[in-house]
Amino acid sequence: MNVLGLMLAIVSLTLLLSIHAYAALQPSNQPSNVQSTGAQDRASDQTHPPQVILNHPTFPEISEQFLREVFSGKMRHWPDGKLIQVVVLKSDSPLHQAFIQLRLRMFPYQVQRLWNKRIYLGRGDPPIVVNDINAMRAMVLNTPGAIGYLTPELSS
Amino acid sequence: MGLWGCMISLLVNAQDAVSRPSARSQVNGFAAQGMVKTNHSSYTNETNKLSFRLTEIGLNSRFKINDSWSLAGQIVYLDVGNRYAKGGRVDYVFVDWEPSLFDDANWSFKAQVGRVKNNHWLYASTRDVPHTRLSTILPQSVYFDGFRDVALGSDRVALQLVHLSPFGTWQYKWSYGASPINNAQRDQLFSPLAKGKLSQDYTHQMSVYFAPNNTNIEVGLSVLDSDFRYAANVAGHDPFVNGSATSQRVMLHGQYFAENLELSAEIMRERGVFKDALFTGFSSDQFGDGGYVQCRYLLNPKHSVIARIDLYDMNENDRLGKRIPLQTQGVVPEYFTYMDQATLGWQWHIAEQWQLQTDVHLIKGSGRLTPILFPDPVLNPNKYWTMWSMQLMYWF
Repeated sequence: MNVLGLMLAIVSLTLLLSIHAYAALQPSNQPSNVQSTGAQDRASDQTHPPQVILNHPTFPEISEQFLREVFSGKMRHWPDGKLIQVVVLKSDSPLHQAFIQLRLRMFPYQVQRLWNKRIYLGRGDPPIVVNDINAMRAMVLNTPGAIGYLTPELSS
Repeated sequence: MGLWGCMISLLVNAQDAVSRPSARSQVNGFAAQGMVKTNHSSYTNETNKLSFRLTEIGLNSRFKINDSWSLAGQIVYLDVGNRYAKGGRVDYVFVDWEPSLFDDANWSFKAQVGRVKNNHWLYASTRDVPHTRLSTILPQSVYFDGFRDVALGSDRVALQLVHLSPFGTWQYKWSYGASPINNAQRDQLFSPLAKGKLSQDYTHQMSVYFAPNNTNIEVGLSVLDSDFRYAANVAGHDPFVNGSATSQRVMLHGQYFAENLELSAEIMRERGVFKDALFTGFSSDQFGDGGYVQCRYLLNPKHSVIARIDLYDMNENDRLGKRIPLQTQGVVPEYFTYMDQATLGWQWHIAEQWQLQTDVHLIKGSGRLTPILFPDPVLNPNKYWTMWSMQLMYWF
């Protein structure tokens, strides 16, 4: 079979998927399988997404794109050169899943794949994994350059 | 020997750091054992009986010197039958420099020197890490097992630049170096009869990837240029003569992620130039192409299924291989010039850090078997053949 045919099929598929991806990421179509499970590690909803917390006072504003690449492991330094230390909850935590879907606009398995690639390629330190939101808050507060997330009411 | 020494030092220094997240050292590893059965092919073994030669074990360490400098290394033990040479390897060991060069949150730079893995293709860098693959055996058009050692890692310099633009994230990667080739790898790549020295002069690779904002799509383009040299062992009655080869490749890459669906595709066009080596005056210059499309559907958090179509033609001017029987007096059948493969797979995420994976492969052609220059029609008598594999994997 001519590879040109395969190439055309892939290009067509990519265009269709781009349209689908754009539509899927509009606010009204956000993933809805994130569930609340309690006050301590409660997942957020679309109107109250998880809030980012960080221990780095000199960085005034974080763009969604920068946030996404930080939690994907591609961006590892704050603009002043300080190393970014990513802190996350366990992968089965509803808040973790809500953060990835609502704030990063990615999917948990996708983020896990990116970290696996970095870890087993020797290209970066894995994120610090904590058990609950109290540990999350404590770890971020006590680790210079750290970034994590909390539910909206707790982040204040 | 020096690389093994570096690697052992890294692991000794890191031995107290397992699972301490903020430690300066990190240790991670994986172990996988499986079984594989082929019918009518010597792809994994000659007997076509159920084989347990599907073992992949790895241990890696990363030592952080400061916020910009790190050392990283990985050793692996691989036994996958005839697919490539069995044994231990220093998979990578390098100095990693990731400085903060830019007073701007939109740029990031990284440099690595040492034995560095190929990070230009979607699955090249982690092809031996079982839980990062979607199938036990990768699509052979792009990830030909016979080229595993020369395509995967080399002693090189690698640079990477990440730029967050208003339209999306760009990644630029460049690397230059050469892979060491031992006698077992020479036998696999060239011929078991060879007695000379096969070496790679250099491999030069570049790639650019782009992920548009607000999408879960990433597309990329990569190029490769590599030269090989064969020095015949005249005193050892080498049946071959001095020669050289050039391999060049252009690839397109694409990935898409949805909530329950993952699509990936890569297509490539490659040129192979051979001079002498087989006999004085031998010359060959041909273009081949191939690629795959694969889909993974997540049934639930623990189970997913995979489907893939993979196509490969060794010579784009002779896709059906009609010239080969004429050129070899009928010794080599036409199906050694292509290999098309349909794969169905299933992944079961049994528990945290444990996974079971099984694949079924239906294959037409034997164009991606080793040794490349000396196909064996006796052990591969059929155009159509099948393969089944299952692998249990653990990682930490």
